[in-house]
Amino acid sequence: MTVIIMEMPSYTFAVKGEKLLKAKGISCELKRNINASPGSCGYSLHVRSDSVRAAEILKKNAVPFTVKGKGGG
Amino acid sequence: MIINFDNAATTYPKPPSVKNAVIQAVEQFGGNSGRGGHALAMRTSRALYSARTVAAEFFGAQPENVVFTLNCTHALNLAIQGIMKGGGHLIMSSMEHNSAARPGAQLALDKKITLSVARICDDDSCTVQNFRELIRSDTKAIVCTIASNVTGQLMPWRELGRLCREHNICFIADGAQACGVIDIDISEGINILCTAGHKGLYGITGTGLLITDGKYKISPIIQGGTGSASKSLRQPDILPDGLESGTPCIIGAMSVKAGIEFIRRKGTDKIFAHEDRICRSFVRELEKNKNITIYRNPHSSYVPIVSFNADGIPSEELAEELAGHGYCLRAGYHCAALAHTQLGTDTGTVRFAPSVFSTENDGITLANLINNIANRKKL
Repeated sequence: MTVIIMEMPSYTFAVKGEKLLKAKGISCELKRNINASPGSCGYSLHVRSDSVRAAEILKKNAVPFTVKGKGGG
Repeated sequence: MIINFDNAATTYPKPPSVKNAVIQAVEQFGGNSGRGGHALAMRTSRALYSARTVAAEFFGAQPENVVFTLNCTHALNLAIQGIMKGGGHLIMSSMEHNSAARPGAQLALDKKITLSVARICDDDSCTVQNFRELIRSDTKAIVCTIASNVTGQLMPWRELGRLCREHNICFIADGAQACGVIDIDISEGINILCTAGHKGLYGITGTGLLITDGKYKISPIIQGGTGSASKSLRQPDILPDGLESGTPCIIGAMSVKAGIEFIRRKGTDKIFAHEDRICRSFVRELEKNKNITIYRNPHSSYVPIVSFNADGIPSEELAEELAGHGYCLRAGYHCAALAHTQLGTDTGTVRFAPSVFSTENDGITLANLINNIANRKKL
């Protein structure tokens, strides 16, 4: 399964994003990033399903993120 | 024996649920929030987020706009210095606590801002008009306490919020004496709410909150580690990180969470009614004595705080005698230079401030003791 990795700017936004996505039925997991980008907080959301909808939900709720890439999972 | 009527300074005792939350935090949340991927850091991080969420819901804010501070003074300094960076005109009320008055005064002394003081009246419309008349084209913010820490007078904060919105001015509200006894939702006109965690919210000392609606950028006055963008030397722009440098008081935050949950279970209306009843019966007893001055007026509303003096007895002397009988009350100027100047109280006042754990009987017994002392000294 392809997992989309969304890097978050703060832990607070990471958890907020995770709760928003899970409330909408989107499978995701908050994880510590081993290869975090310089501007991130070191935490990412690993989104397992419907990443396009996930991105829309986060944007609609003013939760900033950066798509880091794809991973296996 | 101690009977605490100095809850405006800090509430004591705390609810059992707050003590339990502190114990749990010491035992289980001993990591550093937002600063690691191991189990200890992750569970501590989630715990702190839960505290942020509870505070956000209680005050009508978003979790990221809740900043944990050391106390209300810290929150007010962040707000006032952060909003007034770059200069401009600040208006504060004539009843402000030094935690708001001093940062404003220092900025003015340093010629970084200009400062005006709006006189608080017995009548709310007069108060609002006084603020309105001071607004200029370069007015950036109004700071006003929601309730005076000396007299308990409730200020027209919603009306001041509307006034600020009309003029595109930031409204900074000091909620230290009001949070936990009256309902405060920042959507009712407050741009930045600053409050203590350890007074009406029943958290431990060393806690405070700054809660913003996000409309005005608050420039940080402290830079440091935030757990985010760690490779950069620039302080992050986003909240809460930008205003929360260093390790937050996680145990304190968990105590504030437990305190807010305690208040929600009880209901602010019931808490207010209980404490207000105690104050009213206390005042009724003191009013029988012509040697006692009570600093309340019939045209104003009050949170449960009463300031008084006994004729011919300096406030500190009276408080000392009451302490000898086990009653804890604060006397003097209450860190509120402006308020005592307005009241004209040369030796300050004695302040009576019950909590949810106080009883009406204790208040009446105390009032009788005060009456006896005042009458004895007059003979």
